[in-house]
Amino acid sequence: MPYFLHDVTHELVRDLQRMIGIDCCPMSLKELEEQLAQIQSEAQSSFSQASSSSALYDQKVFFLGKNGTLTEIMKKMAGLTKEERPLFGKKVNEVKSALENVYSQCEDSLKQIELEQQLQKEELDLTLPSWPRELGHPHPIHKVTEEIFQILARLGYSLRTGPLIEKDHYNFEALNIPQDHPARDMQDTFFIDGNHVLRTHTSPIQIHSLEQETPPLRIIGTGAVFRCDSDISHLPHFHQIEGMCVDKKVSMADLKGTISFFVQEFFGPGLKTRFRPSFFPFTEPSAEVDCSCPICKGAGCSLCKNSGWIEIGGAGLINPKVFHAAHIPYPEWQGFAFGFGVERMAIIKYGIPDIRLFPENDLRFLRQFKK
Amino acid sequence: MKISLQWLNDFVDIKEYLERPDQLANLLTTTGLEVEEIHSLLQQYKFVKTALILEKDKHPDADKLSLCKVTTGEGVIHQIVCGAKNHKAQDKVILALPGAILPGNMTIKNSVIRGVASEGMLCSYKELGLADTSDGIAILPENTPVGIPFADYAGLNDVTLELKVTPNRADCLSHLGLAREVSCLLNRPFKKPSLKELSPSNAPIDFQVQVLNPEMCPRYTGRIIRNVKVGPSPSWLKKRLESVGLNSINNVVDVTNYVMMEWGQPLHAFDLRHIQGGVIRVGKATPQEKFMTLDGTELTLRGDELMIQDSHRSLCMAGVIGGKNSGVQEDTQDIFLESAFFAPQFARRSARNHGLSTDSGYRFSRGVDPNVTLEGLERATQLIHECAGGLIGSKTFEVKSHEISPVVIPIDPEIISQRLGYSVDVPKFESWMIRLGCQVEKTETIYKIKPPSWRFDIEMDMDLVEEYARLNGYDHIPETLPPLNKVPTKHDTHYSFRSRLVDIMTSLGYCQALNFAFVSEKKQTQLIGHRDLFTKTGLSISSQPVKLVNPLNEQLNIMRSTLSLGLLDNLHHNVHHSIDAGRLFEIGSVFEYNSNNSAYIEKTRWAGVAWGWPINLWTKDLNVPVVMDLKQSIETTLRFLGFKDWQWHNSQEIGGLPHFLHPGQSVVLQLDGKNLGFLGTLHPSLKETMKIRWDAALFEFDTSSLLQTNSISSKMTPISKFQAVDRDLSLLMPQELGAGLVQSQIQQSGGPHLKTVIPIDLYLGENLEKGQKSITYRLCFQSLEGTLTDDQIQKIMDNILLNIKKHWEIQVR
Repeated sequence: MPYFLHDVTHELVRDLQRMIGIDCCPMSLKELEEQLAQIQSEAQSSFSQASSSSALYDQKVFFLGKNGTLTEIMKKMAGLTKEERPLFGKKVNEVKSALENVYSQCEDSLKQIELEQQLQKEELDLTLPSWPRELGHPHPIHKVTEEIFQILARLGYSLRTGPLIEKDHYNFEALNIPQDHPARDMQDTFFIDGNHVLRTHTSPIQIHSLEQETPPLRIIGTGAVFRCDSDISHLPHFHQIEGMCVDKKVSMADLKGTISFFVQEFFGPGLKTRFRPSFFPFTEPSAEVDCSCPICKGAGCSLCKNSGWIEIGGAGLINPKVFHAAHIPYPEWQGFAFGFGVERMAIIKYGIPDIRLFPENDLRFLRQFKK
Repeated sequence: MKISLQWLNDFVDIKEYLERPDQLANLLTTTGLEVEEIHSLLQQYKFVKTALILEKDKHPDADKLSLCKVTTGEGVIHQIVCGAKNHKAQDKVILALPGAILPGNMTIKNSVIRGVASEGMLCSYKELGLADTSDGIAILPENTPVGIPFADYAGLNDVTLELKVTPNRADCLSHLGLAREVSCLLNRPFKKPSLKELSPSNAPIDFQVQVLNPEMCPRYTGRIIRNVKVGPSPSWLKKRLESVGLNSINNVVDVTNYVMMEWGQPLHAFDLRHIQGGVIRVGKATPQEKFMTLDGTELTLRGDELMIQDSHRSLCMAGVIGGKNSGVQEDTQDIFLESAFFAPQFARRSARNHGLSTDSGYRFSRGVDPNVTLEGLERATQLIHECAGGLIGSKTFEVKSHEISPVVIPIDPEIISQRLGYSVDVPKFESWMIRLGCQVEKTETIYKIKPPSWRFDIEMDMDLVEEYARLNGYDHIPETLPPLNKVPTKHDTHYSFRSRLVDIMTSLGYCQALNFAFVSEKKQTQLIGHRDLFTKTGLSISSQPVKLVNPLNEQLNIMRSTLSLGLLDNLHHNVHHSIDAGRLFEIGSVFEYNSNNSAYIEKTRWAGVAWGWPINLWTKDLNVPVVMDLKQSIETTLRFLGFKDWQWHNSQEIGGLPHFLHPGQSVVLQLDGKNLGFLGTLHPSLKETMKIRWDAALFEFDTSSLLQTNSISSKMTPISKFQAVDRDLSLLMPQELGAGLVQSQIQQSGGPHLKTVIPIDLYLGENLEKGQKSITYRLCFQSLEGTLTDDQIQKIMDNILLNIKKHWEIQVR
């Protein structure tokens, strides 16, 4: 038995109880059947004419709802005979079920139309750009420093920093650059007072490390450095990164191998490393470091001035005088050190044409360097 | 330093390198003397020849041009269009043919000028780079042979190298010195010029030389030459000096310069009539003494300079520069010629303290060969005698205080193998040492090496390791990786923190700025305004900025005390390049001076600037003040770093904020009761001065309190399975009260079950009492133990209310 018939019979019982003692004019079965047929046809036509799913639902409530017309007609069954009642009840249920069917058909088609209308209304022109919401960008100097540091960290190097205003001792004396030594001319120094300078290189970080830590050591020093020099290819405030390795036995071959590893990781596989003799007071022997030009791979281009080689930094074995100044026993402990200009590395790697772009902080420049 | 290969060729045979100077340059560069530039006149004047004009006609189509038929001999005729007027048929001229590249990168090609073909160019001396001005094309003497290379004709067949000599290789600052190096590299004989026997006069001399400070002047030699004829130098001498970039002055001075460039020994010639008292004294200056240099600059001496003096006054700053009072003049007849060895550190100090940079000072401060003093004097005497005549004095003055002798270095060749990382070839080592000029003594396992006097840079075994490495070639060094013998240590925590901050800020859409650490004192003082108002925000500034003694310019004369100045510059730069919206941050040092312990303090600051919103169809109705966007980023960062309980205080609570901030849209950040810095909208009047149309805001914080982030525990907290319950709380409070402070108080007094407090409504309507505002907070409660009952929540709410009413005049609405 359909579920709704339960409700109907229960209601009927209640209605009958209510009607005891009430005098009314009962209708005949025929009359009721005619009325039922009329309700059916009226309902069918209003269902199919409904213009929206909500209007349709209102019609459903009117005809099929708790107090709807079908319920009303059921109430009138009281006037029928015991035999007639089930017959009519069955008819009402048939009509109700038929109308429910009509309703869901109408509802389906209306919902379909309405969905289409909604989709049309909600149409967005997604060919238009979204609004710009970008990740920020690290400064190329930071980015390059990080890249270099990450490569060297894989070889066991740990990062150190140091003060930008340095004592003369750390910037010069301890690095075998005594007062009145011509090597001081190699670095145009900003002076703060008689005993303090803006550090001209990151090498004082080595001295701090030698003084404070116990070998073996693998250290990267990085940060800003200053020289009173400003022209198309020099900034007075620029950045360096350097490495230092102190151990029992350290050779030029170890130094070259380390830099060669770095060069291939940073600029790309297959690039060669070349040493040229040079002079730095804190290393002996000293070398200028070249790598085969990352742009032309050594074939010759404008960046390398057709030489196939690019100068990337300086290196050498730590001068015994540096160990003596830092009270590290030599030759029990030996070491090498190497350093690069961060701006120069960025210029080579990213093809930056003008060093003055670095301190300008123009967003059109900064936005080109992805994390 | 400029080296002439023709000159060098006098002392070592390098003739073949005149054609291929790049090969010699390469050899020098790979062994440690970097050649920065090769200047070859031969190359430059390739395709430039002497020529004869056969015919000169008018250009058919241009009045100012002539059409010439020019021959370079052997019946070769070139048609040349020429714009000059000073030539005629039968003139001998200089013709640049197609392929020539003249100074200034002027390339000569076959061309068509006004419809007529021209196969080259008739040159002026200016176009050839030989004169500064031009009166038309060069007309050569009638007897000039036709068709010979111009370089040969003019004797301009030299090649010069620009050498970058590192401070340790002072021995290569002369042609003789470099020749010695080249002879070692090429294993060719070094031809040291033999000094001719001098023929001094017999006239007695009443003259004395006294060295008062022998430690500053271990060697002093001199000689008197009488009756010299000062005048122009012979052309060979002029040409040699010009080839290395020196101007000819007169024969005597030119000889001193010549000997310096040849032997590396600087010399000085005094006019004998200006040396008073018949004495040369080498001694220290008197403090405050005035001294006028030969170029007319008056110096006030410090007292530590070594001077060459007579009985009364200073004549010359030893080894650096001569005095105006005693130099050789046109009318000089008798001279005193000086050749000395001044100790490098003192010469350098004098030159540096007075900002003097001279060829002589450069050489003395790097060190000259102490054994060449007398030879230099002999060579110069001989050349002066040749070029200016005169009678050579009978006496050679020589004061020699002590021997300067290189140390003997013991070396075990094994150390070379160990330090270079490849096996040393011992016989090769021995031969290199000999070729360098060392005295080599061999014992059983070790060598005793005594470097030559000019290689005073070689002091220890590592110097010999370097000599072997460079002479053998750095390319022989193999590549190995050293074994790791220790567990790597931790990175610097400051760097790690800064790096983390960069990561967070860039994730939030901020671009990283890096500004100079020095700024203009004037601009910084203007920006900061009242120092007290600035320091109250929590950013300390020393009373005096850290100044540079020698700034590049007034725009960069102090070390910065704030990052805001640089960021405002960046803001200005960007908006004036039509970047209407941007977000920038900087992490960098500021500097303070602590006068109590005379120490410089560097602090790391974190600052940022934001301006504008991206204008777009989708965002046009977005109406959030930029300062709120900045605040969002700061709070996101603080949360991400692990901080929870920070507070913001407005201007009233702090008692004023820096004047560049909008007083009603600025706050100070407080963490653990400590002010860290400010956040605020740019003051409208500053915006107007900077001509910025967009809403802009900035912040600057000290990071020392943020560094502790490393110690904040990152253990996970349990997640509740039970339902969360929201309660709204509408409060009436005084308008000037910071509603954020009330919110923190709610949060603090809400106990563990209060998860979040969010302001959801602000009402400043008519039906409120004047000076009041209504804020609705949404409180979200949740427990780990079970769903909270109404009673439980009400208890917490009551407690919260009790607590905030204790602090402020607040009503529940």
